[in-house]
Amino acid sequence: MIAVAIDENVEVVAPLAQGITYPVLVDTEHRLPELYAVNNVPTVMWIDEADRIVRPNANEFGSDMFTELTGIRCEDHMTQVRAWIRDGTLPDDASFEVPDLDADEIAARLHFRMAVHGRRSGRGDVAERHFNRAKELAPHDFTIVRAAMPLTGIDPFGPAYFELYGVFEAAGAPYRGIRRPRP
Amino acid sequence: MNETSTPTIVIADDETVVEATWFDDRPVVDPSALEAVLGWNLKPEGLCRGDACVPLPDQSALEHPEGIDLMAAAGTLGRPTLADPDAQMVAIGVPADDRQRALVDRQAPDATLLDLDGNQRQLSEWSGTRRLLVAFSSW
Repeated sequence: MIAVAIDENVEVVAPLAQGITYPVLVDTEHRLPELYAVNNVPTVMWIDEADRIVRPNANEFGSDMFTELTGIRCEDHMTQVRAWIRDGTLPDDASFEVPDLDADEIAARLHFRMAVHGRRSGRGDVAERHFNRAKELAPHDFTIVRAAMPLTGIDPFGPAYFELYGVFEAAGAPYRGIRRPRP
Repeated sequence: MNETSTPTIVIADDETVVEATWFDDRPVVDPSALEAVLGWNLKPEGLCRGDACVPLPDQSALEHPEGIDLMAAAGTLGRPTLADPDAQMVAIGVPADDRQRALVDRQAPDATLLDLDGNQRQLSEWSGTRRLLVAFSSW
């Protein structure tokens, strides 16, 4: 298992990785949102020995901390992972095809990177302009809207998050990947 | 390259600063800058990296009296672009083909990431094992 934090720097991730024995990496340039069309976390992919993605982007959790909100139980996923590791069995949803990003989502990722550069280099006007444009272009994308929250002084666990979650659900939950059906 | 060129920040695989002259909100760069920014060289055969070349049906579409239209060159490689002329910045995304390899061909693209000591690491370092790739975040 490899965990990749889609975050601004190593410092914000290190406290989360304490005591964890598997590799933890940090995706400061949002490569996974661009290359793998990741638009929310957690997103889990199963990758085999030959680098083949045998089960693509799926919204799975390592614990049941959010089950009340999401309806997703981690044990359902872990049972399937164990079967795959044991004898290669893949669940039916493994054939799911993740739809490609649309032009706005691609542009939003470029605006996000520009905003981040502006913020890192102390150009607040550039950062603000491009964070705003990225959010307009991809209003349901957590790697844009929610990732921008801590970078713009907004609590990502506060009211802004619940507002985003409501907008996302009202839009039909456009997660790019497998969402386990609610029980 | 001339008196109108200005340092321009290019955000692509890495961040680089190149001299560019801006025309109609598009940066024009010296051909020699393409390799630093895109990893490809402009040759008579087209855009080349090592022995591999992407032929250009119309090389003149990239050419400009002051150099090469950087965004057009990136577009030839299937890479989306965004310019901010006021900030003198250009962002260049990954080739659409690289994402298609993940989503359609189901081959995991490699990526350069940081480990917790700040060292650059490649996802491909974990090739050869059955593994879960988990994207998470602090937010």
